[in-house]
Amino acid sequence: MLKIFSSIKWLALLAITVLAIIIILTLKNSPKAPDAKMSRTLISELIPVIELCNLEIVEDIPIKGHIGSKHIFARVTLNGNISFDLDNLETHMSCDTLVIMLPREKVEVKESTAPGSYEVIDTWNEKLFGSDTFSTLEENEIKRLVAQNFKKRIYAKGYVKRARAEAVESIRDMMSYMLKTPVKVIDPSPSGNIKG
Amino acid sequence: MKNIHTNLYYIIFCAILLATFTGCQENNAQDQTFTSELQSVRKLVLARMTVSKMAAIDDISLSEAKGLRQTASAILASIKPGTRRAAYSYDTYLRAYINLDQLSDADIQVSNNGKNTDIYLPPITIEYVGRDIGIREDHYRVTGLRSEIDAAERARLKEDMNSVLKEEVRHNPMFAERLKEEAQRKARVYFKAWGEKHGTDIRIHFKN
Repeated sequence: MLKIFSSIKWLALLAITVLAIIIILTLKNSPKAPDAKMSRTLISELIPVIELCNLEIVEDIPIKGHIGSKHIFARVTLNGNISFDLDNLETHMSCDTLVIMLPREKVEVKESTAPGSYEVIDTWNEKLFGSDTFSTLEENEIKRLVAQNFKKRIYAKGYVKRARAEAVESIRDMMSYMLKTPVKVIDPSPSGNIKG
Repeated sequence: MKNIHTNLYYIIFCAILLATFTGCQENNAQDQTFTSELQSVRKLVLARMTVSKMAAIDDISLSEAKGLRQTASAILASIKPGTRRAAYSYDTYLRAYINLDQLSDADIQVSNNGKNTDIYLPPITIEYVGRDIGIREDHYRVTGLRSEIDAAERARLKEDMNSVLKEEVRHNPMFAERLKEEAQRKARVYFKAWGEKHGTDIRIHFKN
């Protein structure tokens, strides 16, 4: 009698385990609850520009930051672009040669739109009962600093210097090609200007 | 009977192992590799577009719920006291450009008297520059016993918004058309002005 009771107990345990697995798998495979209602994508700005973009940097960056005792570890993919505004070029003629001054570089840092470009891996609080929830403001501030450091590294690694040197050639080639006139491009600041 | 017990132990052990590995699979997919890429390009950017996307986090009602997970989520939300509502938005940036590497000698034709120049520019390409680093919190009201919206949830929301935005841009030709029109107009105005300065009438044509 005891043996039968024991078998029933084990069978019940097995049934519960199987049921639990079925529920877990069903929950896992069922569509995610759409708790976010999305609005239509709107065009907020459309502007004509003339910019020469000649260096693109894509970097995966680990984010390690803290606000007080709250810590965050995340990963972000940033896109860096170095370009030159050709709309208001400073120019003058020297004999038959068109002389162009290379403008200040524009270093643009954005988060990539590739899938999985930003992922929060862990958040924790040093204090035992402290909250590990970062407000939007706190998270944005940490990410802003990461982007700022990325921009500084673009200068430190000599990417701007390289972009300016290449821009001199590109602008000279493009203008002399299209205007069929000799063109000389002068770079007044070969290392660029980080404050710009 | 002892065999039955051993078999049951074995089955339960296997089931737990299976459940454990099913959970692990998802974590392995998020392999953490940090990469860096640097590329020299010669892109002449002619127009830029900023598009905005907004999403609101709200509880799903039981009548809207589909499937087991949504129903469970709706029941839990209705049981917990309090409100959990928030709205987030951010901007995504696109640009239209021509690749200067695709220009060849044959693309620039100057008339015999040198007064007219026809330039055949490469086709306009549209690409994403990126999106805002942060996210704008347009509204936030979490009360009672409802859980705060944390960084991980915002990151997932941004990811979902990004996928939906890209789908919309891909399926609605209006975005690309407006960007292309603006880019073509700018190229014509810009090069015409340069031509006038140098005594030649520049006409811009775009290859398909």
